[in-house]
Formats: sequence, structure tokens, C-alpha cells
Amino acid sequence: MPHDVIMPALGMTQDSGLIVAWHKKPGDAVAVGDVLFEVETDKATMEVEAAHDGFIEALLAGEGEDAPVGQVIAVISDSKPDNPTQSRLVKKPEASEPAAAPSEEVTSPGDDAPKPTPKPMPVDLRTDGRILASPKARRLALEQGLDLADLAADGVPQPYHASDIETLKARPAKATTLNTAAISQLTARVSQDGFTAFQSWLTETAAVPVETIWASFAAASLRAASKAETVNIRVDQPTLRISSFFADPDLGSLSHALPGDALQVSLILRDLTSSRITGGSSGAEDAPVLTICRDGDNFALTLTYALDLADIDTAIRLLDGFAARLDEPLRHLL
Amino acid sequence: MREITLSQAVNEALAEEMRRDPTTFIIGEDVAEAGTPFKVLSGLVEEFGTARVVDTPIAEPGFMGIAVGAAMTGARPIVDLMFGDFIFLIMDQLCNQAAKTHYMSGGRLSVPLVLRTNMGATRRSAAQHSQSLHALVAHIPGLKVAMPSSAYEAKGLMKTAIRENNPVVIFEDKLMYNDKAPVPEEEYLIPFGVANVLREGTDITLIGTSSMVQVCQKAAEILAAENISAEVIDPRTIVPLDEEGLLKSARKTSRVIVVDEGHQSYGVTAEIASRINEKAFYYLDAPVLRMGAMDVPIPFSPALEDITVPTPEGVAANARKLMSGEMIHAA
Repeated sequence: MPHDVIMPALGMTQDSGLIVAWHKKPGDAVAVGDVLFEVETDKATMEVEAAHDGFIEALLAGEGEDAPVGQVIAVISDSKPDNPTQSRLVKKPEASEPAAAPSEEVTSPGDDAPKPTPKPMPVDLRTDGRILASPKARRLALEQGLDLADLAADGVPQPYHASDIETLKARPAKATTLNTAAISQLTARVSQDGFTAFQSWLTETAAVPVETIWASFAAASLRAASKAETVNIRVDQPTLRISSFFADPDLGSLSHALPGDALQVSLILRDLTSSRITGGSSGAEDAPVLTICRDGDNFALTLTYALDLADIDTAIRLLDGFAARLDEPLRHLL
Repeated sequence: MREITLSQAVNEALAEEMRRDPTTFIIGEDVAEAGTPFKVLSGLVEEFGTARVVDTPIAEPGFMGIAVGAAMTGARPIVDLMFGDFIFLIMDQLCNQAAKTHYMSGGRLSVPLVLRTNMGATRRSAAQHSQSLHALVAHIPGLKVAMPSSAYEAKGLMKTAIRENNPVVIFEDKLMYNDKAPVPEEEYLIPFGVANVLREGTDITLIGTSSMVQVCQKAAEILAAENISAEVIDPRTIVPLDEEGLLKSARKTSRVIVVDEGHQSYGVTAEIASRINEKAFYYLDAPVLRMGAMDVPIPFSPALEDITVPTPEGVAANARKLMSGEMIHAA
């Protein structure tokens, strides 16, 4: 049965240890108490002894390498291994992530490879979260709406000076924060007849804009679907370049559903009924989006939402409820 | 234009003003027959006589006291203090009396006095004859301090100083007495508190006083060969200081080195650097550097003495550091 040898924790605050030297080679026999390797911590260099009898099946970290505490750095097998191996934690220095802390340079492999002398650690200028920059660089960044933290994130060495502002400006624009959460989509189709009749009846009674009706129907559907106490609806009419906000438009009569302020939007209604578009959806947005199109004699409804904003049951109840209200608008008044 | 030495320029300024104003007189050690150790005053006693070019015993506090009293009572004395280092001997007459009389008399008395003295190391004069002590008097309100950087400057500033109604101390650099510069024959004055931009540049400002202006100009030439454009400014008078002129340059170049031959600690470089930090902070792309004389007594050993004062190479090296964005005094 093979036994893992791990980097031991030799100090209270130690989180890694530098392997100064291996005292055994792959394939060597070891006995309990034999010195296996020397490790350098922040305080001292210590010898670590084998805890099992057997043979070195594998050395998994090289001399000069810094191994995290708990990392398996060798394997001791009970029987003499057929293919003893030796490897390193870091295969090649170039393979490390560009942003990663500089790793020790790896010298040519082999038992007699010279011990790499630990390079002096570069002063980490960002440990306290401050960015070192000249007053002028800060002023220029502020005036131009640039963030010096972007340079730090790119790994540009500090301190920053006015000349670094050019680098910062030339940097590709920060990707707009898209909601990249998984999205889901539901579609429905419903005849326009009921809604058209309802709308003409309503217009004879009181002049109610269509977005108010959309908002009211959507709010009622969402409230029924999610038991939400407050429902804020934004109605986008891209063809008219208008966005209207409604706070709880379903509470109270339609003619009194007054547009509210730009609040936290629960649902976006995208009214494409005055366009020739017959369907479609956007990517995820900050709120679920219900798109309304005309497709022949029908309304084509598409509900798009990010999975982190709504669950499927709510979404189904919302779209179904909205479609039912369009189909039989009088239900809404009941 | 004719070229004359700084020594001749000072001599001309004194002679012209003494001809113009009969209340002026020179007083000091070895001023008449000897014409001072630096021969600045040669020929003056012949023209103006021993009543207006007055040799004194070796008694600095005495003749300084006489001059202050004479100034209070209507004369315009020009005191010759043979070495700037001797200023310690006349501190009461200068700082407690001359500097404060106008203020303490409610403006009824004035002290229109010029104290001519010198400064500057690397003349193998040892620790008691090599100091640059202008910061001491610049610290005292009521004294104006001029620091000519060439023959032209020396003449123009001296004539302004003699016409000034308050005490003025002029520090001439001992090493520059034989330096020639173009000086017009016709009369001119150089106003106090107006800095002189000797060389325009865009990358770094080198502010120098007295002989350090030459050091800065040489440094600027070295830097120009490396494509670094240095602006060289001479404040001319450190009291009054042309703060706005210096700030304007600092804002333009965003990097500044201040070079002065006084000891670096608590000195003129510190004062100017501090004002720039305070008032041009948001335009600075690097810390403002001070370069003064080392904080040691000036050594008699030539090899040691020469390394105590700023050099063009040293200024250029510091300028390169600032240009490269190297961290200065990080930690």
C-alpha cells in the first residue's frame, strides 16, 4: 500500500515550505526515521524523516520548489517500484499564469542540479490594497474617468506615472457587465381578437394608453405567479423610443394606473407590436423580459429570464397568466 | 556685447551707485587699500576716498553696528563681510536690529543697508571659510536675500539692492568672481522676486541658486543629449521668492529638482521643494528632490570637499531617476 508524504506544517503561520534538498532518490529504500528531505520555513531549515518503511515510488516536487502545506510531495511504496518517477510541481516557469506570483526559476532537472538561490521577493506593493501612483497620474485618471486599478489588474508594475495613463487609455475597454447567468426562455401564442375588442371598449370609456394595459396585465400576472408584494413594471416601446415605469399598476383601476419612478424593476415588457418583428428574445437582462410581438392574427409572447432571477414555475405561471389575460381581458377585471 | 567678470560687474555696480547717491559708502575689512582678498573693490578708494570706502579693524560686530546705525539715520551703507562664514559674528546687528527696526519703530525708521558677502565651497578654504549660510538669514523676516548667478545678475541685483529701502544680504559665490558673462554698458536693474528662466524645457525643472545655476545648466546639457528636456530656473532672490514662477514651471514639467549649495537639511532646497509640494501637488509626477551640500563641515581635503557639493553629473543622474519613474525612497 503506497503512503503519501505531504508537506508538513512546521509553524503556526506557515502555509508553504521550500524543499531545500531531497535525501532520497526515486527507487531508494527508506526506513522509518531516515531523513527524507530538508524543508525551509520562514524561521529555519528542518529535516523531515520518513514515517514508513518502503521505497520511494515518486518524488512529486523538486528541490527549490515551494510546496503548499498538505501537498503530496512524495509517495512511499511497500515494494520496490517498477517505474520510480520524479517530477516537479511547476513543470515550466512559462506555464504559470501570467498574473500568478513569480515562481522560482527552475534550473535544469537532475540530481546534481545546483540549488536555486531564492530570489529576493519583489515588494508586493498592493498588499494593503493601495495603488501607488503619482499625484499627477491620479489627477489625470480622475479627469478622464479611468481606473488605475485596471492597470494593477493587468499586472503593470507600480508606481504609476502620467505616462501610464496612455497605457490605461489604450487598454481595451472594460467589458460591459453582462448578466452571463444561464438564461431560459418560454414562448406563448394567443389570438389578438379578445384584446382588440377589449381595447376598443376601453377606449370608449376612458383614454388608457396601451402601455398602461400591458403593465397592468403583466403586474397582475406576476403578482399571482410570485406572490410578490411590490411589482414594478417597465414598459419599453423601442419603436417609439419610450420607456415607462409603473409601480403596482394592477392595484386600482386601469385608468388610475399612473407611471411611477424608475424603481427596482420586477419585469420588463418589450412592446414590439407596432413593428414588423414577429418574435425573438434578448440575452439576460437585469429583470425578466416579456416581449410582445404581432404574428399574423396572434400575439407572440416570449419570456426571457436569467435563472438566477426567477424559477421555472414562476415563469410558467407568469407567462400563462399574461397570455390568458390577453386572450380574455375581462378576466383581468374580475 | 562686452564680457566682464563677476568681480568687475560688482565693482561697476558699486561705483555707479556711489556716483549716483552720495549717501552710499562702503565699510569693512581690507576694503580700501587691499580692495578685498578677491580684489572686487579695486580702484574704488581712489575714486571715492577713504571717507566713503572705510577700512575697519577686525571687528565685524562693531562695523556692522556702525552701518546699521548709519542706515537708520539716513545713509546707505554697503557692508563688506569678507567671508560669509563670519555672519555668525554679526547676527544680532543683522537679525535683531537691522531686520526688525522698521517693524518695531512702527515704520518711522528704515535700514537701507546692503550686506555684501560670499559663499561657496571647493576653494580649499576649509570648514570656516567655505560655508553657504544664506538659509540662516533667509529665515529671518525683514531681510531680503539675493543670490547672483553670473556677472550680469550680480550687477543688476547689486544696484537694486543699494536702492532698496530695507536690509538686503547679497551672497556672491567665491568661485565665480573670475567668471565672465556678457554685461551691457548701459544701466539696468534686476527686480527682486522675479525668477529667470535660463533654459526652457518640458520634462523636468531644475531650480538652482548662485553657482548651482551653472551646475543645473550643465546637467541640462547632459540630459539634452539623452533626449530629456530640462528647464533651468534661477530664482535670483530667495527672499522675496518668485513662487508663482517656480510653480508654473513645476506644473508644466511635473518633475522638479532643487539645487542649492547650502547644507541640505533645513535649507533653501527644503523650503522651495515644500512650497512646490504644497501648491503644485496634483501636477507632480514624481517627488520633488532636494540637492544641497552634504550635512558635514566642509572638508579641507580636496578629494573630500569636491564630493560634498552637487555636481552636473549628480543632478543629471537624479533627473534620470525621476524620468524613469523609479521609486524614490520607497518603503
